[in-house]
Amino acid sequence: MLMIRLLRAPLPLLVPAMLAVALLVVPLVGLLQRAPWSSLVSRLVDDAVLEATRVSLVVSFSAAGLCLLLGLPLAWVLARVDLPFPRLVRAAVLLPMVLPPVVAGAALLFALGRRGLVGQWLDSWFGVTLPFTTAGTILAATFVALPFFVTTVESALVAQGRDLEEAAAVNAAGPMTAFATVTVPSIRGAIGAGLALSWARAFGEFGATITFAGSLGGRTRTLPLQTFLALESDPESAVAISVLLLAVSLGVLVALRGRWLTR
Amino acid sequence: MSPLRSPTAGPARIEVRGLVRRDDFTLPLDVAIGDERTAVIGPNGVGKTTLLRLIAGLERLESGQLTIDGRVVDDAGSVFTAAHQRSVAVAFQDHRLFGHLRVVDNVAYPLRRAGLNRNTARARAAGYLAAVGLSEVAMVRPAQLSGGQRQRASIARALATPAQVLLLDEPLASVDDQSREALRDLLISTEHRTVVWVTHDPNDAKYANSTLTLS
Repeated sequence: MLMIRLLRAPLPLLVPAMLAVALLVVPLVGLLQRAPWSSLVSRLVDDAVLEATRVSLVVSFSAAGLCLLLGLPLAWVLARVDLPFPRLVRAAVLLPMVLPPVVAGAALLFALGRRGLVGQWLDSWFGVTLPFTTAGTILAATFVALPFFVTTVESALVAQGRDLEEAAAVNAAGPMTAFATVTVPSIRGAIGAGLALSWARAFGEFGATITFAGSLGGRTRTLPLQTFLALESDPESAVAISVLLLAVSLGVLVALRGRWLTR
Repeated sequence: MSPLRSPTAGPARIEVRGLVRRDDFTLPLDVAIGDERTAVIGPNGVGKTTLLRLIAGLERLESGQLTIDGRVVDDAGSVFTAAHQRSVAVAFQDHRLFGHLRVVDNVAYPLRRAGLNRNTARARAAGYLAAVGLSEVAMVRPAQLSGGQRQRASIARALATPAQVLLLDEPLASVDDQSREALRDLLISTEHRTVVWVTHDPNDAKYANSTLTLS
């Protein structure tokens, strides 16, 4: 049946479409075929891997939390306030999505490094240094993940419009009450999707992290960094971690199915 | 206390004099509403809904002044009392029920904002739902209601709001003929507040103390 349906499609569309599927699937098959299935679990409970897992979980969940804390108000402002230069503001918010992560890491270093624009004051006033710390790793992950959260939530707010907030207002709800009792609950699906996307982006973050926070075991070395390190010394372990990361990514995708990604 | 009696200070005189900007033109308004029940009639696009939105505080005057009960709530400049601080309730033409709340909690919403606890607010909301004939769907979500039921729930929510002014935007437009009479009686029996009722139906207008024609 499937073959018949496929063969009805025009060949100039069918062939590139099949090539695209191959391009996406073959690397994953390659990974799975190299996976050391029999020793998979023992390689994942290795001390270095467990430590990287801990760092990754702390960093990714903290980053997702920061995305919620900062991104929800930002999405609301973008959707509801008439800003000057709205396109410019929106472009600035979206930039980390398209910026090469290494550039993001370098930018963070110049801004928040010990001699950076803001970092020098953080250091001399508060004694706070961010590079090569877990906090810096969280910051780098938040930087790259925040736009995913903000765009998801903002488009839900724009789609919803102001109608319900107006209804809340004439029912004696002040702006913050309306936000908490009407706006947030009615876009909770989009908030969940935004959290999942930003968490996944933070979980997989590599370039900005290694540039800004380095790869210090137990502090800044996340699972992707551990994978990269292991590729040199212990490729089998690298494959095992990759399989784990792949499983997590698939999990997020499945959890989102029917919510946001299928729209 | 009867569930349909609202704890307010009685009807309020509303005066709107000034200009309001619509999408493509400015609309002059010179309106005084003093009676308990005023029907607002006029052709489509003449600004009936805009008038209600101005009184509710969802729209601002371009110039002029709007007073409710002698108090200036919008002077097109420094004075603007926000919607949630005006003693005004609205039944929107497009219902605007909160999809994440059960029908009873939609009606309880203004009562909760007035400081009632959840159970008291729900109990009182149930009274308003009974009055509009929606008792049996109190625990469902608005998405499961028909258009007419949604409009009735929206009316119940507006009636539940303890406000001096009740603004109704074609409240019976999508209600079926059988319930229309009963709902009209219910709206007419609303006492101690100013009701501004936008309508196309001459039968509605008949029951008003006065009629305001916009043209």
